[in-house]
Amino acid sequence: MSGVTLVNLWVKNSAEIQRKRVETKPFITNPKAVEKCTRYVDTDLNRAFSPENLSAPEGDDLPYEVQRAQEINRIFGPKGSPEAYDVIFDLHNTTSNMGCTLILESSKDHFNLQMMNYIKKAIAPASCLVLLNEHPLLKYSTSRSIAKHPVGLEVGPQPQGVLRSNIFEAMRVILKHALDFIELFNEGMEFPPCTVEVFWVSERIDYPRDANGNIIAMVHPNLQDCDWEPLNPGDPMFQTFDGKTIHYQGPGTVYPTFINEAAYYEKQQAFVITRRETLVASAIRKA
Amino acid sequence: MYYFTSLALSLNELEDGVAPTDSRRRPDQRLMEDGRWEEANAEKQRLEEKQRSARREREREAASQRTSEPIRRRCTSRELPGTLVRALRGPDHSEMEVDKVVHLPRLSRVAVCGGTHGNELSGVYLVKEMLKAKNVMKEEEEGHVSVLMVLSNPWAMQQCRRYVNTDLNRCFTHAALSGPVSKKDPYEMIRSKELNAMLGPKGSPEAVDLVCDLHNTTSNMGLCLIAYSDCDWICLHIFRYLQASTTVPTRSTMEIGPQPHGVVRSNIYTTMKYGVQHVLDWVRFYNSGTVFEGGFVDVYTMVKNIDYPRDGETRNITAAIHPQLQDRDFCLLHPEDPLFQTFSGETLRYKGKEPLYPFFINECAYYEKGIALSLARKRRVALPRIRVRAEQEQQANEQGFASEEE
Repeated sequence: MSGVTLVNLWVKNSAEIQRKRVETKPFITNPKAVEKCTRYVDTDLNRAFSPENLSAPEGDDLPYEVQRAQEINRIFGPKGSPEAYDVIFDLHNTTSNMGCTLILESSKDHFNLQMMNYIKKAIAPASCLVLLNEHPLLKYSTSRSIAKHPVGLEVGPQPQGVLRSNIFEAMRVILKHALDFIELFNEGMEFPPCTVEVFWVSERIDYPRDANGNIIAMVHPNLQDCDWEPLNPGDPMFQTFDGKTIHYQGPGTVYPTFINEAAYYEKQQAFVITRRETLVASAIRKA
Repeated sequence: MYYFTSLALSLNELEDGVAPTDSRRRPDQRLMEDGRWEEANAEKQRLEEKQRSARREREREAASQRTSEPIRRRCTSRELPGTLVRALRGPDHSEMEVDKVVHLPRLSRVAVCGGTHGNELSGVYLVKEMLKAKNVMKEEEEGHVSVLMVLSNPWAMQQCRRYVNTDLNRCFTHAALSGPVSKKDPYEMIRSKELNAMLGPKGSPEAVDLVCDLHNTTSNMGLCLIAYSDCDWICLHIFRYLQASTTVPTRSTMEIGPQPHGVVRSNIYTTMKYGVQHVLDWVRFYNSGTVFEGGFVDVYTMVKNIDYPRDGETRNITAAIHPQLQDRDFCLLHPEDPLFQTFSGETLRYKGKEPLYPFFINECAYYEKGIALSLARKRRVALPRIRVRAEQEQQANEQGFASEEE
């Protein structure tokens, strides 16, 4: 709800998001789903921007979100072309206790790395972590991938369909700093090399399930809400419905996130495992 | 005196023209007003003993008649034995008959329902687990109770949605249940009739004795029991038993939060599991003849709902629950306390005159119902001692039914 509410606000009055020398467009990506207050109508829009879908012949028989993906690709793309938008900020909430998270799709996107470094420093001492999803199998075709520099904003915890004022304000502040960065960049400011700590997605962990695919355990209370905290081999991971503990058996310490996200039950994901890395961003300056 | 207002000071003053039975005329109260405390107390004891013995005499005379309503029916003060209504009057409950036991019918059939809202997952998973581990109670086991486990809205559960066409939990009015069945009806209207046939019919002697309907909320309400009457002694005694048994704050359908819809949190699931186990334990103790002592419970009775401020044209909300109110369910809200924070940062305050207790603060499913929060008044309800009706009483009651029908 945070993204929906912010965008509706800015559609009405965009003063807050205007910056010099930048065209900023607030946009509701999935209006039918918003109207029904549901994640999606036919299929997850944030997985629908695959090359196959975008190049498929248009038609009303396509799922609503595939049609919508093609439309968005026309408005903000085409994906991969010089005409595509420079940046898309894709606003999301999660039921996981992730706090403020920026999602990066490429470890070589120096512009994005510099922007994320700027945002982290601007909101300090409040925390804003960077999740990098460059895994060849686990990365997916997001709506923001249309742009040259896709930026995901994930703020939680917030139940689906609910607007919490603290979560709303946190997202608003991050956007403000992101747009400030773009304005400074466009004015010619040089951003020197910097290092950015990222959490690199390495594995998806599903719930234990029975032969029929039904889940047979829940995220363990010791792990619930502990996004970004180290998970060591032997630590509790799941608790069965009759109270037994299932432990993490991996080889080393990892950093779980997206713990118990509501929308991921159907995607066979209880949480993702990440490893902490430090990336180096080159200096950038407007050409 | 003691900074009382003039109204408070004058409340017990005698005045002309009032009825002879006006409580201000009670001899123990007059003695108290005169500051003669010991005499007042002695007179109070004498009067109460006189009332008790008069009541015992009336009970002996009324022993063969029907004296209480089936507990599955809504219980109003009009339907209660007249003596119990009088016993509850008075702010100090001095007329409460603490040694009187109310005999109530046996609870032979209990239903535990999960998934009335398909995305409230604690109940869904708990009922699924209970179905897997179903224990058949032996007939001869003491306190036998037959427990039906029901997944109320399977189609909504499959889609992990609150409902498919319409809210199932609003489809059990008499009008909704008595209409003819049509395939064109909303799914939940068809389903409510199926559930009524399975667990009811509502209001009939064949209906189950107790329904425990399991829900989750995104609000920070802890473990809540929602009862439909402050005279439903069974529900209120169950609540007291739960309160004594758990460390989770209980207030007085079982609603547990906070939990996002579509998520199962282990702590919330475990609380619900123990809650249901305690309810069933209580029923078994009750059926075995345990006397449950009387006492007092605090209940919260709904007064009103408050909606979000909305845009006149689009009806979109224009403010969120204020951060100082978010998650403060059942913490007293005073006039002028912050209520909402608009998107431009302005604080909107509570304009009611009476401090009330907020609950269902920011429940996801209530945005569409125009409810940002509900407000309740807290009051103390006196519970009598209760026990299950003895076999002979039960049979006499059933024969009474039969002879009335004849």
